[in-house]
Amino acid sequence: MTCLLHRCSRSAHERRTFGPWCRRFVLGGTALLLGTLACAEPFVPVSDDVVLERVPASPQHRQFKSLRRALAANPHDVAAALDLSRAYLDVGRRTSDPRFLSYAQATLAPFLKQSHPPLDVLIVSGTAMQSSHRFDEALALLEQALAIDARNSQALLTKATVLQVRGEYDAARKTCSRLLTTAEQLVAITCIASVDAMNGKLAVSYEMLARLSANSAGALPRDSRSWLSGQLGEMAVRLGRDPDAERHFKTALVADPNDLYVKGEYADLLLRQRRVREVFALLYEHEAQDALLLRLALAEALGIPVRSRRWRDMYAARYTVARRDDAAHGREQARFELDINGNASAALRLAQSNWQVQREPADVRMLVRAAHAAHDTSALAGIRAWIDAHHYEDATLNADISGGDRT
Amino acid sequence: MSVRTLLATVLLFCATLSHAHKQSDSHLTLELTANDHVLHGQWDIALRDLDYVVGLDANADDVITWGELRKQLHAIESYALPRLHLTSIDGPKRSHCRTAVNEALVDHHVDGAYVVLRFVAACAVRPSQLEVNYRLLFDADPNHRGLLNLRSDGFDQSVVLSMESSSVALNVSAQNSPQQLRSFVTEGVWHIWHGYDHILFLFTLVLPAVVTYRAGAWEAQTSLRASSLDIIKVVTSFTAAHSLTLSLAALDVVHLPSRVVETAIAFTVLLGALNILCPIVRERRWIVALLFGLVHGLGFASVLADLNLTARGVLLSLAGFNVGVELGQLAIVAVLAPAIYLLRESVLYRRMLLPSGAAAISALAIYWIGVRWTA
Repeated sequence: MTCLLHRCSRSAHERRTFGPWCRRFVLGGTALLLGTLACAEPFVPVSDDVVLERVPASPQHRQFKSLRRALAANPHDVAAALDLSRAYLDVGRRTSDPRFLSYAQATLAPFLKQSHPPLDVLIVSGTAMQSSHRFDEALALLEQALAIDARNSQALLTKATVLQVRGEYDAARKTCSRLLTTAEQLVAITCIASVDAMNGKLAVSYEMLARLSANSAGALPRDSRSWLSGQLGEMAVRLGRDPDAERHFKTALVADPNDLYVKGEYADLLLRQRRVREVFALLYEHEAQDALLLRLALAEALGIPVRSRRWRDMYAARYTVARRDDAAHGREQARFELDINGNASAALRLAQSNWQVQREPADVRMLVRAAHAAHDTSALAGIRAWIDAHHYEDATLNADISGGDRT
Repeated sequence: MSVRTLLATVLLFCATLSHAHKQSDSHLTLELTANDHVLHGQWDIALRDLDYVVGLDANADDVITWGELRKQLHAIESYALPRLHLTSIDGPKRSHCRTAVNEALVDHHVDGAYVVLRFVAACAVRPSQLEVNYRLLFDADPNHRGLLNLRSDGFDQSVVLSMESSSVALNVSAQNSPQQLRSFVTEGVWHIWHGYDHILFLFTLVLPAVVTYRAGAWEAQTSLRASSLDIIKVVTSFTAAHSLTLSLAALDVVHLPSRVVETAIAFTVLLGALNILCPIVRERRWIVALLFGLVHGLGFASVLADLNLTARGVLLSLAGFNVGVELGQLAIVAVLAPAIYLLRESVLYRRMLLPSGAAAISALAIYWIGVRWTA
């Protein structure tokens, strides 16, 4: 601790980039220590004014109250239930707080029990399931929705997304093409391009989406703009074009400074380049987010400028309490085991079970790295066969794949 | 920084952690002690969840204070208790256990603040099987889980309750389960390994076994047989003695205040170490082991007491714990004895390691005596 304090005071003149997280670090560490001591036993607070908990707050959170009241006044009103459920879903996806995804599901549950659930109830429930990584249930609900309206663009897009995440590219592409017959041409093209990018057409898809983005940036709503730029950034990373990727990530964050998914991808790029301070500056406000906290812990583990364990310990503590079979966190937990705990076999186990749930670029990378680190030739051969079969391209993998050849 | 500000910082820190994004869980601990019809329970429920279903943030300032929570305690009880059904089953007899909250506290878990409800559940018959039916929050949050831990006869069973499996029946009298026995053996091993005072006392008796005191100095013991025999005698006497007092204490025949016992243990360590620096008892250290071992046994018993055994479980756990202590002790001797036997000829061992080790142990023992007596 003294050492840390010393470092921090010495760097006080660099406060602009270094100060906020450094100070936070020391204060946080002290509070953590005291907090751990103070939190050891159940207690009766000393006075009524003691603050016990902060509830998540934003204008949207405030909106929940009136929406809940409206539904309570008229529990059979589908429209009221959908309004509330969509509001929960939106906050749940934005903050990745699983409680709100659960509330969205629970709000619609009574309507799903009807013999013919309304179309929107099926779609919103399906989307909530997709966001909770419960893909089977999501697909079943979306199928039901498409049985009612075969050309529903939201149902089609969500279904395509689920299929793509699961690595079912043919089915995903087919679903995307059905979007072409709807009014959402732009969405259809983006949908197809992002599937193709996983299937040997990375460069072509990237160029196409980049043109699309340049031509229609103004016409797109903010969240689509940030989503599109984020996609382009991820593709540029896989093409080995890091400067372009960085440009896309920055554009995405201008369009939506709160797009936490993009922040995570951007942090990964910075981590690969060992730009630790920029990771801290980008993420230090987001330690509440498990996935972003992990990036902070990874940056910390690089030991620049000083090796510490604050975020690592915080992540480890959450990891322990979240021991439920957690589909949503397999990817991060594998990364934690590999890059922080150095436990390659645990990482491989987690990466393999995560692979059964989702197959996005981050999952491919995780599995390759874990198999490689664990010297598991059969696991490595398995994932390489998958990569070859799908013509999956990823510049960040090259080192690990050729490393695999040597073993 | 005033105490108040400091406290606020600490609690705020606990609060910032609360946004850790994990699904909602409650922690339910049930404990059944000594032939009782009454279960003692503790139920930790997240304030965020209670705010959602009961409403805690009365002034809508996005902060939940103890005052706000206190005003809603009654509402929390009437929300939570009907969603937990405990049924005592004894053969064909089934009876509902009536729950009542004794006190409400607060605790900070990694993911935020929880209310802690301590309650009793009175059953008409002592259950041989306990049925737990759990429905907290499922109507509001279908992914909520109840993490149940049932402790009976010093033995824990853990079950995860979810909307899909919301009911479970657990055997309460499992006093002959091999799993339970194993857990006590492990407990014993850990206890000796973590109880530095016991280990150091053992050291003071074993270390001189490979040397003999002649004309004011330690000389190497020439006979392997003599050394081995010495170690065996010392370890066996220590074992016999502490097994005896451990049993007497665990069965409540002897009862001494733990401050006295712990200080006495530290005192035996000191005497053992001094006996190396200035040997008074030279040949018959096994008698020292026997006498002082009696004191150490009383110390082991306090651990067993912490495990909250029921009368039925005592014998088995006693045996298991004792076996564990012996195994742990043997493991230490198995490493130590060959090492010191090989070192015995060296001047380093006889002139340096032995006396300086003994001096260090004495210093530590004096420190322990001070700390434990004034504790």
